[in-house]
Amino acid sequence: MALNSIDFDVLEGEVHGLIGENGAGKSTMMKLLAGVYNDYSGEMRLHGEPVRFSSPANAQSRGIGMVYQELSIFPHISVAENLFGRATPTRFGMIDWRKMNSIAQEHLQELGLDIDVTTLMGSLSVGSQQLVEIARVIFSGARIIILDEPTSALSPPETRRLFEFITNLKQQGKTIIFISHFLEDVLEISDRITVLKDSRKVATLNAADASKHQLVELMIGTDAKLLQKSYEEQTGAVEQRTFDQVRLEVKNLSKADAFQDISLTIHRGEVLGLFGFMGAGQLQLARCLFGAEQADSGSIFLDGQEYKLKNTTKARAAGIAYVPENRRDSLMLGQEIFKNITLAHLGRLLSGLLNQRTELEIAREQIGNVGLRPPEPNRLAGALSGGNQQKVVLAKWLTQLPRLLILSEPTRGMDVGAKEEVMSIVRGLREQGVAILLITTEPETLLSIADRAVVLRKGRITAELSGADLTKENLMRNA
Amino acid sequence: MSETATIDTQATPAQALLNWFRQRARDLAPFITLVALVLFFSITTDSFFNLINFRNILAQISTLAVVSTGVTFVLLCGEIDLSIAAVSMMTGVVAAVIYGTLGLPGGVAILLGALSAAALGVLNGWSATRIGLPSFIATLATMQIASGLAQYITKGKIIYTLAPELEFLGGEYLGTTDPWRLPVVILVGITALLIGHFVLTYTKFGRYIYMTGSNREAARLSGINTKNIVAGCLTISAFCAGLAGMINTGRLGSAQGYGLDDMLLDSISAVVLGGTSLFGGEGGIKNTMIGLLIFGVLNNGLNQLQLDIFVRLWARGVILLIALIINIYALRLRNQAAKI
Repeated sequence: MALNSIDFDVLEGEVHGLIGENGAGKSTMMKLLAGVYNDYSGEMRLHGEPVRFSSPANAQSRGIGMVYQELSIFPHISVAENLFGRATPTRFGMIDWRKMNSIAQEHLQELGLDIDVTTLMGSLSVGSQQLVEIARVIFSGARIIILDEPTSALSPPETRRLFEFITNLKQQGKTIIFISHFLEDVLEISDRITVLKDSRKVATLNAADASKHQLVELMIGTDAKLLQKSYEEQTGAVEQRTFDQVRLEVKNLSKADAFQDISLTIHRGEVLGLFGFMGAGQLQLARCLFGAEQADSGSIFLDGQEYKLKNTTKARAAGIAYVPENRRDSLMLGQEIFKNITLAHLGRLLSGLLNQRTELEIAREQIGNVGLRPPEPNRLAGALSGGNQQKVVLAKWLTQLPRLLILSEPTRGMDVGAKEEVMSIVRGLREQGVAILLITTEPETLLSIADRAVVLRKGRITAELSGADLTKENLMRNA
Repeated sequence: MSETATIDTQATPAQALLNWFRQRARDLAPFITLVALVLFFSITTDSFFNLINFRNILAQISTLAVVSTGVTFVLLCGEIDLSIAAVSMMTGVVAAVIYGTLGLPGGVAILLGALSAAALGVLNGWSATRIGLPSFIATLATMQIASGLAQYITKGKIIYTLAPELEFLGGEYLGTTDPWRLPVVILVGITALLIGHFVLTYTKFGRYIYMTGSNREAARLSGINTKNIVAGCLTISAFCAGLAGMINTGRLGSAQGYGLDDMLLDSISAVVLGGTSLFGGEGGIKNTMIGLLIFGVLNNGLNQLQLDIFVRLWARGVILLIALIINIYALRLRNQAAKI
């Protein structure tokens, strides 16, 4: 059940914040309001009138507009053309540019936006693009605007600008629903805040009366402390494992528009969790550590030696392994499983010519190690379930024990059973001395295995947590 | 494509057989096409079905086979090389001039010719991987360069002094009595195909080519230097084109700066007709062999039918389209089979 008996109301002209963990129901709620889902039980009323939207277009026509986290703009055409969309004004069947531009410019002026409508959308900053997108939604008639994670890609000055814009809109009688992980932002801009947890509504409170600490507690539940205890009892994970040798050292790594001044260390046999909401820069950081992208400045050391990871081949040769968050980027689905498994270290596994028998032997060994089901090396990788595909990706890298294993969202989209299997493989690896960087947006996954954690927020490290400090509350509070 | 069968123990025998066919659809469909064409022409003409004609077909596709080997490499890694015909022409001319005008030995002329072709291949590789031009555009430019060079060197004249080695490889026969005289050029074609097959199937380089074509980004994120693979394939393609161009001069008895343009589409058609995917990652030399045979049979057969030359040209185009459509459906069948 995605949503369970939720009572939710929004007052005209207010900014209403909607918060909750991953999986709490925010996304479902939002899609329901926007008309993406209409198979629900219960009632929705718009201005007192009962409604049930049949489609997003239907919701739009009734005045509800949605701006998604990934903006849906057309970068190669002008701002004016983006604003009008399909409703471009025409004269004798041809586009009336002058009319379009003047109406568009007027509209932006009314909203207090100082953007030239003839500029190409793609040449605007992300912040400006977002403002134009909001303007577009209003232009199409929206009086209630739902913003999904609006500040995740914005710098502080851009966030300021957005908030001024929103305040402006409020004064013009528009209503905003503000969905976000960033609690300070929600607190600052909202009039009221609703907290969702486990598909239910936990509370609705006035922003003026609330504190961040309070919100976090509501989001994760006051039994968070109990949960923490049970983690400890279960896994004995907060047995303080001691580490001697530093395996990976990152010093002041920076990349424009991704992350700034990242410094961290991982010891031999240690699991370092990297926590942050989507868009915090963790994915780009992972790619830079594997040579798939280049950082602008900073240095990377493995076992004390500096490495310039100019490409992925060099990174692999240095003993770094990378499991991307997107399985499509890590498997050849149209090829057999055994070919996928032998791929990464083919050079070292086979000297000389290819030998199918040897490859199959190697594949079978790995298949046994990761518990692949069904254990058939000749099947095409595309025929496997998601969890098993992920095992193939791991198997590929484990044909030679890596020095550093970078896992990017390794358990995304997997059921509990599959998650546990993957995690146990990872546990086995740390016993063998592999240094592991675990990048995840799921606090539970991180807490179940990480020895230490680093929290990333908008490209910067905001906290380093270990021991008793490594709690879900602290993770969420610093993200 | 893997040799081993995937046996689904839960399917009924009929389903298993159907599945077996589906998985091999990519390879079977062209083969069936070939058989169908051979039957068709054997029935509709008297002159098609005899040994000398078959020998002629093989000879006719031999230089194409050399080029198509290179084309197979390029298509497998997911790229395309539009410069092959021009490079062929240019290389034939270069070798002829080095031998005839500069007076260097035939062996040296061939070597330098091959190097000049390879150099253009390296240029293609560099533009496509280091500069980032799409291979379509990069090779289009090289095509102009090679074509221009060929015409510049010959200044419109035809060169008849060719290295004797090339005349042997391209024009001579082994043996003395018909029909058992084997044109040497057939051996050249077969050798090229076999070497190509060996590299693609038994070497790591070949495996990397398939993987790069199958999923470029996943290959890169597995540590494969996909730029080098692509550049390598483009170099091989140009090299093969150069060899083919030189052998072709031996076959024709002359080298000239124009006239080989058909070879580009002919070789791509031959490779694709055999079942190699235009998108990369699927196919191989065995497919190319079938494709070459289809192409050769088709050309030869249409000739034997003594159709109007203009009819022949568009008829060939229509058949090519049909074969490609069958190709795509075969690919879909195979993908469906994989999910069962």
